[in-house]
Amino acid sequence: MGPIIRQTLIVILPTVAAYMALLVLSFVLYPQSPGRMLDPVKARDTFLRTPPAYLTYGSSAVARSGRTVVLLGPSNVSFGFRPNVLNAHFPDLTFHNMSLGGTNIEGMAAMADLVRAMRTDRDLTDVIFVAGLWYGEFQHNEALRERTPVAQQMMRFGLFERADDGYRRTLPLRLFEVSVEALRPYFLVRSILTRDGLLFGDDDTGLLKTRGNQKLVCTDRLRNGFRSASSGSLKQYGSSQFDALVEFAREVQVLGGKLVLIDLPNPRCMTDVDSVWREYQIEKRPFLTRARMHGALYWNFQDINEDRYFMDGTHPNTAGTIEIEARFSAGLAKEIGTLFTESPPH
Amino acid sequence: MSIGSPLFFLACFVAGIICFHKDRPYWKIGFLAFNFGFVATFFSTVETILPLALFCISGFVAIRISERYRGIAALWAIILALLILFIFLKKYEITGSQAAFEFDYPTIGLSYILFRILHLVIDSREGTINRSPTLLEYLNYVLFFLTFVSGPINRFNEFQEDHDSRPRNIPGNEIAAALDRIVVGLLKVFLVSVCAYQVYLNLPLTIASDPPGTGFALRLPDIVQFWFSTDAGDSTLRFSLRYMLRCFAFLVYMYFNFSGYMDIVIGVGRLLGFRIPENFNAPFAANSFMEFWSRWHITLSDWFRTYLFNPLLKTLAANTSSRNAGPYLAVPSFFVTFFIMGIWHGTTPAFVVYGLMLAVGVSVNMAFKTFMQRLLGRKVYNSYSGRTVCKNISRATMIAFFAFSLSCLWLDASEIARLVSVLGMFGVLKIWITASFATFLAVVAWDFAERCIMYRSHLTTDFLFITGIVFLASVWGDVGGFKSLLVDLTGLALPAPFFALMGASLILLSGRLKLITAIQLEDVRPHLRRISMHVLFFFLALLMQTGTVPEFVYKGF
Repeated sequence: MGPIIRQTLIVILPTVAAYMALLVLSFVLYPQSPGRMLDPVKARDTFLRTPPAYLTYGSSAVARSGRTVVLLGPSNVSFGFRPNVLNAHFPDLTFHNMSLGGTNIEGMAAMADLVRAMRTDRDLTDVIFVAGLWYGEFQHNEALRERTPVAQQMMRFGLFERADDGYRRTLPLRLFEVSVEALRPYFLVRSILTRDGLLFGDDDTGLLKTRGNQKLVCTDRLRNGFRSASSGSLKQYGSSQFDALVEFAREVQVLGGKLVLIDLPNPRCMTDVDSVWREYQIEKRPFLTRARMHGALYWNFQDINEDRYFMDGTHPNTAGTIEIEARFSAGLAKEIGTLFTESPPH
Repeated sequence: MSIGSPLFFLACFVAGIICFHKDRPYWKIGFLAFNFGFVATFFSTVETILPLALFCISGFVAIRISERYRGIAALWAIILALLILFIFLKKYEITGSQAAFEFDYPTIGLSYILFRILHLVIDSREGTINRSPTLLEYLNYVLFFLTFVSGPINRFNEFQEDHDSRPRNIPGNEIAAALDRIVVGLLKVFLVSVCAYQVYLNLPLTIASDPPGTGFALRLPDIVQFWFSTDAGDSTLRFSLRYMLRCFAFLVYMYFNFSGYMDIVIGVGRLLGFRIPENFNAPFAANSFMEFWSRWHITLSDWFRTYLFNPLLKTLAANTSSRNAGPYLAVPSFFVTFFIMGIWHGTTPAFVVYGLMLAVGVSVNMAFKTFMQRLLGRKVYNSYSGRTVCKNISRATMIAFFAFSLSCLWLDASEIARLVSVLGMFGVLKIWITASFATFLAVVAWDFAERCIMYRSHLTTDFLFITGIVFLASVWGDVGGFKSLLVDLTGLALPAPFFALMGASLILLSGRLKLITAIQLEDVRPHLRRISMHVLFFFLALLMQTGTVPEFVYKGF
C-alpha cells in the first residue's frame, strides 16, 4: 500500500498546496464571513461575493430559533428594507433580508425552502415570511423552482439534500458553518479570475451599493421603454406565477410560519403609462383572495408612489426606503401580537 | 455516500487497509463489515434496509436450492419467484398499491443484485461457477462497495479469484495508470457531465408549437418553414431546436456521468486488487445500433446476451423448420431482449416506450442488415457498409436515435404522448432526420479533427486537455477574459452550450489521442507529474463551477 499512498501524494500535492494557498489568500482578502443578520448588500464584502451564494451559505444565520422576520423578494426589497434599521425598531426580533435581484414568486418560495432546511428542528412557529410583490415578478412563464439561483446553489456541494417537503440540511449546524468556510477557495477563484474579478477587471461594487440620494428623472424615453414595452403584457405569460403565489401561501400554512404579502410601490410617472401595471391590478385579485384564505396577510404599499421616492422605475432611493420602512414598521407593530401568538396549523 | 466525494475516497482508503491484509484470518468478515457499512450510508434507518436484506437472503437461498434441485422446472420456479419479489420490492407501477412494505425505503442496488443473483442461480445449476459461494463470499459479491450502486455487473468467478488471492505488490506503472483513470473519471463526472447537465437543465422546454413572435417570425426560407411546421401550419422551429439540444445535452451528460463513475470504480478496483470489467468502449465510434450496444453499458448487454438473447434464439431456432426464416430469427430475439432491457431501466410507463424504442431500433437494424446481405450478398454488403460515407451516415442516425430514445428518461408518458400529438409522427421523423444530419456533420468534423492532429505527443495531448478545461471553466465565468476575447474575435454572442461542447470535444480528443499514441508508462515519474498537473487544472476549473453536480444518473435505475 506504501507505493500507492506515495504516488497518490505526488499526484495531489500541487492541488493541496494550491487549495491551502487559496484558503489563506481568501482570509487575507475577505476576512469577513456572513454575519448573524443577512443583508444582500453585504454579499460583496464577504468571500461569498454573489447574493445567491451569500444567502445560501450564510443561511446558518436563520438556523437558530427565536422570533425572526425573513424579507423575500426581488431587488426592490433589497433596497426597501434595511434589516439593521428595522432591528432598531424591534429589538426582540431578528430581521434577515433574503431578497435576490430579479427573483419571482418561485424564487421566493425556494428561499423559504432554504429557511425551512436551515431552521433547527424545522421549527417555524416564530418565523414571518414577508414577500414583496410587484408586477415584474409575474412576467415569467418558464421558471421552475429547481432552476432558481438559490435552489441551484443548494444542490452544489452536498450541504443540502431534497426532502419530501423541500430540502434538508445534511450536516449539523456547526459542521455546516465549518464546511462553508472550507469552501472559501471555490468562491475566491471566481472573484479573482473572472472578467469582473480582482485580477482581470474592475471590482464592480454593483447596483446594491449605489443606493443613495439619486432621484428619478422621468423622461419619455424611460416611461415608454418600461415593462409593457420591454416584456409584453401579463396575459402572454399565463398564470404560472400567480398560481405559485397561492401555492407558496399554502406551503407556509401547512409547513409553519406566517406569510405577509406586500404590494411594493412603483413611481407614478411609470405606472401612469404602463398598461402591465393596470393589468396586474386586475389579474392579482382572485389569487390574493385565495392566498388570504391560506392565512396570508396582505399589505398594500403601492400608494408610496411619488417620483421623489425612487431612483429608477422600480428601486426606492433613501427617502423611499425610509417611507417604506416606516409603513412596514407601523404595520408590524399593529399585527405583531397576531403574527406571533397564533400557533401554525400543522 | 456519493461516489467520487471526499468521503468516498476516505472509504477507499479504509477498504485499502482491509484489502492489503487479505492474508490475515477474518479479513473477509472485515471486508463484509466495510461493504455493509458503505451500503448502510444509503439508508436512513435500520428499518429501510430490510427490503435489501430480504432480497439478498432470498438470493442466497435461491442459489442453494438451484444447486440442489437441478431440474428445469425448479430453475423456472426460482427465477419467477425472484422476479416477482424484485418487482414488488422495486415498487414497479404495475404492482399498483400492493406495496411490499408499508414504509418508504430506497431501492438502490436492487436491480444489479438481481442480475448477480440470477447469474449465480443459472451458472451454479450449469456448473460453470468455479466453486459454490459461501455466505461471506456471496454477501461480499452482491454488496461489493465499488459495484453495488450501479455495476458494472462483474461475474462471480473473477470476483472469487480476486477475493481469494493474496495481496500483491502492484507495479508502479499500474498504480500510475489506475490513478490516471480515477482522475479522468473525476474530470468526466464533475466537469464535463456537469456542463452538459447545466445545458440540459437550464433549457426551457414547453411541449407546444412556438408562441407568436418566435419561430417563423425569423422569416426563414419556405423549405425551413415547411420542415419545422405542424400539419396545421404552426411553427415548431424553436421547440424542435430546443428539444434536439436537450436530447444531445442529456446524452453527453449521461455518457460522461456514467463512464466517469466507471473510470473511478475501475481505477480504485485496480488499486485494491479487484478486476472490474470495462463498461464502455468508445460507443460513439460504433457503426450500427447493434454494435453500439456492444460498446455501451457492456456488462449489461453481455448479461442480457448470455441469459436472455442466446437462450431465446436457441429456442426459436429449435422450433423453426423453415430455412428461409433462419437468418431473421435474431430479429424477434433482439426485440424481446431490448424491450425488457428498456423496461428494466425504470418503473413507470415511460420506460415501456423506452424499451419499445430500443427494441425497434435494434431489431430494424438487424432486419435491414439481414435483408441487405441476402439481397446484395455478404461481400458486396460489407464493402458498401465499410465505406466512410455509409459508416458515418449509420453512426449519425444511430447517435441521433439513441439521443431521442433517452428522452424517455426525462419525459413522462403523458409528455411523450403530447410530443407526438403536437408534432405528429411525421414531425418526429423530421426532427430525427434533422438531428441525424447535424450529427453527420459533427461526426465528419470529428474524424477530420482527429486526422489533422498529425503531431501526436504528450505536448499535444496536454495542450488539448488544458484548452478543453479552459473552455469548460468558461461556461461558468469569463476566465481571464478568454470568453470575451473569443466573442470579440468572432463577433458572435457565443452561448454556454458552445463552450461546453468545445470543452467536452477537446477533452475527448485528448483522450482519443492518448489511446492512439498508446502512451507507454516506462518511466513513471514524468507520467505522475503530468497527472498531477492535470489534477491541478481540473481543480482550478472546478473552482469556477457554479452548477449543480447531479446525482449519478444510473443510481436511479
